[in-house]
Amino acid sequence: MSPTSDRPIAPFGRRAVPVDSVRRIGPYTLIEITDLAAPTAKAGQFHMLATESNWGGTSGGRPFLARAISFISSNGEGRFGFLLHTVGPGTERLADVNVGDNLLVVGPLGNGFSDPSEQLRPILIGGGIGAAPVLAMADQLTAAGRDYEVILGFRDASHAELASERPNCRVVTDDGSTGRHGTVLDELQILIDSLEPSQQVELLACGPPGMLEAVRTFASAEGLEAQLALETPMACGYGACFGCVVPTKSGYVRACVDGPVFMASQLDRVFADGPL
Amino acid sequence: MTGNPVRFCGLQLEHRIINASGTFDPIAASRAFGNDVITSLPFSAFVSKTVTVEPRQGNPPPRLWELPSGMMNSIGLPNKGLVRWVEEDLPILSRMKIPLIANVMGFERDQFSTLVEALGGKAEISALELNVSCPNVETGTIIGSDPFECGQLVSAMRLLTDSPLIVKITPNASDPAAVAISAEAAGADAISLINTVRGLALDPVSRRPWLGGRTGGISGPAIRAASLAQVDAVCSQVKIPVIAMGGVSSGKDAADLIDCGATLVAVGTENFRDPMAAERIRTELESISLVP
Repeated sequence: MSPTSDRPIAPFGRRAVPVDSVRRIGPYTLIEITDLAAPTAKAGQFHMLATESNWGGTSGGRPFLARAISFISSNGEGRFGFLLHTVGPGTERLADVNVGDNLLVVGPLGNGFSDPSEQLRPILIGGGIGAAPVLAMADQLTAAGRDYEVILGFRDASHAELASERPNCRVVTDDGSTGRHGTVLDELQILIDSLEPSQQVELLACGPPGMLEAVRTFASAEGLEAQLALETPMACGYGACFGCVVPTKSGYVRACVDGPVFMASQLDRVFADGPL
Repeated sequence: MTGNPVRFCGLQLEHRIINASGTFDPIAASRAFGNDVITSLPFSAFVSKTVTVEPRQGNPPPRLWELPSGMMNSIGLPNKGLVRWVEEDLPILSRMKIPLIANVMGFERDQFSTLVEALGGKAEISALELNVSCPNVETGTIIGSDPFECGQLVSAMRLLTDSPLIVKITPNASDPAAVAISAEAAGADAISLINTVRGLALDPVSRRPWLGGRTGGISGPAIRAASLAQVDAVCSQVKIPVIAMGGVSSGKDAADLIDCGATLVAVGTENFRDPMAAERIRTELESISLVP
């Protein structure tokens, strides 16, 4: 009922923030903004993003709603990077911005990843565009002086270009065109087998529903802690619309204010919603 | 003129802009934006999300679908039920500095009676809004689509409370103005309209209905002209004040509804796009001269 004490509090309202940089990474677009009004955010939180101009002006009147996007980078001084993969009119318009264009921003919103217990070795797992909050968490752990492992899974080598941005990522691809040929679960098993038997781990994952469900099943079978960052369409991002609910063991829960990061043990299964 | 306080059902409101039921949750917003939100809402009165007698989980997801200039929702009135709402939410909402209007819905007459009796006399609640967009389980008719049924319900509720009764009618009726006339004759203090317009979306892959509740309610600028026509029709036929809503996203949209006779204007879907949209809309409205 009371506000989460460790949740960064976002400014009340939407603000216009100019785009500082736009860069293509394989099929992805990385856009960066400097939002001086923003508090220091936690990896796994998200912003509601729209463009100030031509939002709804093309594509037959869409997009209309802002899009919920987790940041891939944050410097603690208002600089945020957002990774976009175009899947519909909203991400298409966002990825089409130029330096100097204004974004309309609300956030940071939601519960980010919790700090993994000191006794556990964090294993970060990202699939596709889900790599974004995972890499933000990697930066957060690095800044905290923690050791961790990162496993990233992609469709193919062009998507996997994202991994070359960061050192020491274990990369797998569906087609074997780069990294190991297989799934993040295959790589996770190899990694865990290589650890000292006494080494306990915690999983932190974001990716497509099928991948998250596989991580949830694995964590459940092995008795591991796992934090899953879910993606679900949102209209508002701040608890007003009740449109983003996901089924949990305690019923339907709003992903925007009670997530988007959930403990795997809260879920019976990972719900697969579509894009807006 | 519009910056001046306005009288509504015996309440003195600071301005004409309120929220539509179910489009702003001050308690959740205070988790995102801080506790000050509760005392700094951009509305002159706050309308609660619909409260029902029993707790409701709401409809299964998916609950959202984006449309050109709007959206469709199939939320299904999730709420914690009367008892827990009074115990848990009302004390927090009573910290607001603006009047609270409680929106209630029953699936039969007795449920409406329970809600009106429980909430009508509460000092923290300034008015009740009856959501009549639901089927009467005894007759199968949507109460708000039938002038006779709606009049019967309002007459019965009128006997139970002195609290102002606002009747929120549905646009999914053949003659919403006839329903409003009937509600007025039965003792309603105000009419609010429009609720969402029923719609359907198909999953592009499976070709089956996309929304978990099968159909949904369309909102946003896509329904603005439909709202204006219904507000115009109702305002020309009733003497009680009207709360108008439907796709309002600018001061001009609000001015259009006021010029058709509305006393208050509610902002709904635009709250989703900007939590402080109502403040901008009020400021824009204040710069527009209205028909005297």
